[in-house]
Amino acid sequence: MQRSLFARQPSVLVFISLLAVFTIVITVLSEGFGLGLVSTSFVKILGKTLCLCLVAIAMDLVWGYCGILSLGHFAFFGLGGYMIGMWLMYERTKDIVIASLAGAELPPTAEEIREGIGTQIFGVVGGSEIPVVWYFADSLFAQLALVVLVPGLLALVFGWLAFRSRVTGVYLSILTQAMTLALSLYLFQNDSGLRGNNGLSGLQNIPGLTHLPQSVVSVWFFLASAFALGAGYLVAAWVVSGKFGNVIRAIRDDETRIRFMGYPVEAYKLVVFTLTAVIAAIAGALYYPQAGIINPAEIAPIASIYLAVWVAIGGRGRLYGAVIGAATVSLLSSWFTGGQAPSIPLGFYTIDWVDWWQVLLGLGFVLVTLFMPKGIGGLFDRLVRKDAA
Amino acid sequence: MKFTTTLKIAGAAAFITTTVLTHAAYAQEETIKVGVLHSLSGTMAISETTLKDTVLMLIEQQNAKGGVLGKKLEAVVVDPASDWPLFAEKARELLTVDKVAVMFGCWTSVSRKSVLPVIEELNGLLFYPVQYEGEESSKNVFYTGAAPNQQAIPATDYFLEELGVEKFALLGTDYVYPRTTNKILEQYLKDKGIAETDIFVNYTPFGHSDWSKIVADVVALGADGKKVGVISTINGDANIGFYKELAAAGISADDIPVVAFSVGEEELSGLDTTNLVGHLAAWNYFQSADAPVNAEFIKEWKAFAGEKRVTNDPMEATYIGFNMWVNAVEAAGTTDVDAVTTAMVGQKYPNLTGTEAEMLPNHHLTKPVLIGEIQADGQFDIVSQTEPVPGDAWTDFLPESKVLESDWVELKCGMYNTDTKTCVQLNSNY
Repeated sequence: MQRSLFARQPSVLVFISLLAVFTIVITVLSEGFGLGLVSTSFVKILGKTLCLCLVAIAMDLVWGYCGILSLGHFAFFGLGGYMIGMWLMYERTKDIVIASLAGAELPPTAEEIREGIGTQIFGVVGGSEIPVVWYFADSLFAQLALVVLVPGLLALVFGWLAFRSRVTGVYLSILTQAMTLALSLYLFQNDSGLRGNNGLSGLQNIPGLTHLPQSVVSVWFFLASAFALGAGYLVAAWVVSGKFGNVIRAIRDDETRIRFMGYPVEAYKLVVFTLTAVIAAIAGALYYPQAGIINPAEIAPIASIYLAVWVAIGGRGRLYGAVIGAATVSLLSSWFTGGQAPSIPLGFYTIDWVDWWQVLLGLGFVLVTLFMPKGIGGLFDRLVRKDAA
Repeated sequence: MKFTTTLKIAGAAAFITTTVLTHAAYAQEETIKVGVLHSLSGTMAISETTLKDTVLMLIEQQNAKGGVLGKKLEAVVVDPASDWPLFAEKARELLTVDKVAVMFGCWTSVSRKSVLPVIEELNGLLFYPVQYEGEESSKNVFYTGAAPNQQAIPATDYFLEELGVEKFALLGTDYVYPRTTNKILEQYLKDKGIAETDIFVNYTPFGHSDWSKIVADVVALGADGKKVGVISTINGDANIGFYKELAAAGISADDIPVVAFSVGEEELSGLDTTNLVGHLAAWNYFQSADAPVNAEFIKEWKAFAGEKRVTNDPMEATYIGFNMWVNAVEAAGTTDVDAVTTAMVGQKYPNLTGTEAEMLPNHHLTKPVLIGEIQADGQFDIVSQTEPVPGDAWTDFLPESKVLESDWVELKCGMYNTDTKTCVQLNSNY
């Protein structure tokens, strides 16, 4: 009989308990549900960070375990955000339109409401027609399904074409970069029907829950993000343990040999690629309602490169490494951009914090890659080994 | 594994403690905090850093004069890093953690749209200093840049009346500001009797570089001998390629004049202006404006930021907004947002071009419109200047916004439908 998941992956139990403790502590300290020691804006930052950790796990799965260096996974993250954003925006606007038409003598017709919504949402980009892609936007259920289906299908088709043609290594990375670039350029156009450069905004206002203050909403989303991260970690740990995990690791180490052994390498890669795209999309769907706005700049090629950098810093090929990397970089950036880092006066010249923090972060990336190929997560390995000895 | 636990908890604890402690330390000082929400890194840094410096200079000057309400002003500078969601995050941080009394910030429309829901939720106060596409009026925002009727329409009038342009090419980068502006201009030109076939509209992506086809199309527009003019809402780098291509096609400003709404002193400084000389730009301020108050402002700016620095239109907008805010706070006797907002409307302050700016009930300013010819040194020769024009939040040239009005004093609504006599919504469209 197979050993249980926790026995095979001892880090899972530790991670889940840590996450649970962390989540409870933050909730108790939050403004919405507790002592008010942690500000709503910080709860939002933490909630967003958890989502980034989740997408980093997806990246680790596809790159660290399966060896596919996809530099396009943030596209799936963004698409997930767009899908949920459409419902949020449509329904919120619908409420506004209905409220504004309430004073009219005759109750507004469905057509009038639709027209009003069109003008409200697309007025700023010079239109009033609701594009076809918004067909399901009034249904939360449909848009939630699309959160999974659209990125999932895109990954399936893209992966099928790429893997079938045996595109691997750096060529695949370039191809995935091209995909995310093409998608972002497409969305930048106003004609794409998703409001071009402006994207979808005001997503923090949840339709039907507008009476709840953001301090409460933020905690709900924080909890949801924590739950998703825990679930995602479990799924990823389950995937990488057992036979499937052995096969994908073997593909990473020597694809050709595994193919000669009779394994359908392409199918395995496609499953991992699509599964991780779906995880990324779910993370995105949780992230953007907390961020408040999604626009094409989010899925610019650099975003996916950053994602790979987080995983590299945290240590690829270990799930908690991805989490550490994403959390470290995201929280550090958040702290630095908050203007709390001091400027360094050298007497003759003052190094502004704005300049040095980015250089420092970049330098950190280089140093970690050069001197700690296993990333920050690799440090724990040494510790554990010493403990054992 | 044990170490992981300790490290993580310690990390989280340290993070929380530092956050709490730094804020506790701040709270002890008796200052009025002013949030500065401009990108200091990323693509917009080149434009927005200037505005951050402007606010810092104005704060320094105000503190030298004794501050506001007897308290010193303290700048809280954050860096939203040209990342639009980060604008919302930082705005929330400024309002709830740093508890700033007012924010000066944003450049792009998308960054403003990102911040809007946050400041309306938390009842913050934002001064937005850049020309924009209009169609918005928030209770919590004062728009000190130009609305379309304070830049685009007068520039078009100049083309029609002074230069005798009969055919128009509306070229823009594909985003909200050019789209809305061109939609307004198209309607305006049609109302003025220009045939639809004589208006050429084209949108290009950000950073577009291949202009040969478009320039050829513009030239072809004038094949019948009618005078062609280009109204450009092209943004950023793409401008360089566009003017270069015009020059390469042997077209001078006399043949086909170009009036740009996004090219100013800051964009021109450090650029080879050979291809641009003689072309036009429309703004509410030029550094070359001949007024004693402007000379004084330029002198102070150069002393603060460096001899080589130039001044530009959004800086003037920041200057007017900042001083109006100071006066409104003094008048209200408090920094409370509602009181200051009420005191803001009707505020008058001399602008830098020799006339006076007034804050209107729709939270927009009265501004004169200046048209300048680009000189070889990157400065502008002012060829036309109007009387101050009141800013119109909702344009009169689009049917759906013609019926809308904004008045935060009488109607207490930023989006009032004059047909149905109802307030469409109290919050803004974002």
